[in-house]
Amino acid sequence: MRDPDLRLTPNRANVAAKVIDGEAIILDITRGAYYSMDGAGAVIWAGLDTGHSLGAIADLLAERYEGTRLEIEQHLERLTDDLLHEGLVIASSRSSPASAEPSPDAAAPPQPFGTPTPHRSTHTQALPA
Amino acid sequence: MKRQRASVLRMRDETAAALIRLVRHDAGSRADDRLRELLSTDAGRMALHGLASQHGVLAVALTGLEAAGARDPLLAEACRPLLAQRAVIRRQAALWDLETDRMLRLLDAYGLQPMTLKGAALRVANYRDSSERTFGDVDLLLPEPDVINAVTCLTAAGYALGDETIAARYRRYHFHYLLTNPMGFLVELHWALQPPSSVIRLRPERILARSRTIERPRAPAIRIPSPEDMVLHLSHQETEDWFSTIRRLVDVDRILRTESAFDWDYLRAAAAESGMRPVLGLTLQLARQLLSAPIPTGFIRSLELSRSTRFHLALLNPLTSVPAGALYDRATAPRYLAIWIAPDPKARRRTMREIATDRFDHFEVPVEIPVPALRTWSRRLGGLAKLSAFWLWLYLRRAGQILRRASARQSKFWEDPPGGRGEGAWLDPFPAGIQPAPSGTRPAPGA
Repeated sequence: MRDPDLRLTPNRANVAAKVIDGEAIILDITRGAYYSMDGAGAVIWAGLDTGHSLGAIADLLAERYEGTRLEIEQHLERLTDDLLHEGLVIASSRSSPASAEPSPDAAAPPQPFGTPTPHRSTHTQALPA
Repeated sequence: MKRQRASVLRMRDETAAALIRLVRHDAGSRADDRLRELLSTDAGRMALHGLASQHGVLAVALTGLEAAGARDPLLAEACRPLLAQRAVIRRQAALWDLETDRMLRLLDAYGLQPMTLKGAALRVANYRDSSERTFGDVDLLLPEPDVINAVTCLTAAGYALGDETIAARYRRYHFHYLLTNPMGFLVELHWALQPPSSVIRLRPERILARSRTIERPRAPAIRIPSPEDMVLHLSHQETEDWFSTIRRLVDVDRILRTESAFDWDYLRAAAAESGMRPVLGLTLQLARQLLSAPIPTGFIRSLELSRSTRFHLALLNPLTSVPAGALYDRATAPRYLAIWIAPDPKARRRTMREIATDRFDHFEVPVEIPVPALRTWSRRLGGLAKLSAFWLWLYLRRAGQILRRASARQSKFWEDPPGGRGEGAWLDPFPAGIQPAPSGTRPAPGA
């Protein structure tokens, strides 16, 4: 895994995001591209957004999800590679500890770990008027 | 057949009564046996869902249902599938919020700070939760010279203006451009608030000058109209929607509840200046009677609507026909309404002339295709005949109500409710004839 002390943060100059009902919706402002991640992906996004290091996020995932530490770290690395490649996150120079929990459902029992992947949305789908 | 129609109408009225309860600010305390009875069946829940969607208030009705369900576990259980839709609505609201903010950021980079109108503005300023107020497009108002720059900015960001001929027609006859993007988002760029031919004169430069800017953490600042101009603009929208929904009434109610320093004197003066006294009066009176919107006693009277205007608007039985969506059952109703919300006799005569010459719908962008004269005249005469028949039917209906002594509620339409600013006072529009039938005896809709 990458340096566990590394912090990646949303590229706020060009990215806006919301986490709704366990789904992270991420917008690339310049390109107008929408990405969606749920489950572990949303937890990872919330962790990055609140300034947690990759090691801290891996710890959190290990608490909440079933699977070996190695599997979790591999998935985390793959996802952060994708996010860096899409320009959605950047390396942060911030070294201060994170101030908030990345997700409110910390007390939930461990769940199966699904491969976290950012899905690109192509349509808003059934927009209620 | 007659019984079947009565059953359908009764279902519609019950559903409308339930909807009004659920969109009120105090929906949590409005659950009663009638509401429980309606929502205990699939047909009742489907009817409520359909009517709320038709009115564009599904999200706010579900919020009300959730509040009512919090005090009534049986109701919450019965409505679980309905309430589950809130997750979808929240997701869509998040997408629209992100896209609205994206547009504002992109336009700001072009040096443009448009004013956000209607849904996108209301959800920021006047609704507790942004997902309560859904909308299908973002409306932005700019000074006319800035509109082309805004189009350039948004087209560079993936939006398209569409066919050039249609855009040119919009430029000539209308007051906004419509742009769409591949994700399905729509934005209307306004340089005015009504078509050039409208009898109403809502001045965009004054509304822009009175706008306010709301700063938000991690989101761009958003420029929105003053609360008074929002109420005026929403009332003005009724000249486009013709009171076919209660959505604007709910908006007005929420504005009046959340804006503590509302300038009623300005609203009165601006309504008079823009020729909007009748439409504002009808909007406010409906919001007050149906939703207990806090409007100072005497304000609507101070708009000085003529006796004839009040009488003819009340003939439509708006307290029941608007919530039930029944006003729009008749295609002629908007023409009748247009005549009676015209600001003065001169404008009324002009509206009548426009109806007679088939130039009534200002919001329709004309199609420049020659139509045979005979067809034009037959359509005009047909339209006038329908309007006359509708008008006559309204008189006869009122006469029948007087003879049956059933018109008391409708004749009270323009009265100030007791209890000052309307808080606590509520004229239930559906009190008679729709009491729940004993369990098991009610015919299913369509039976």
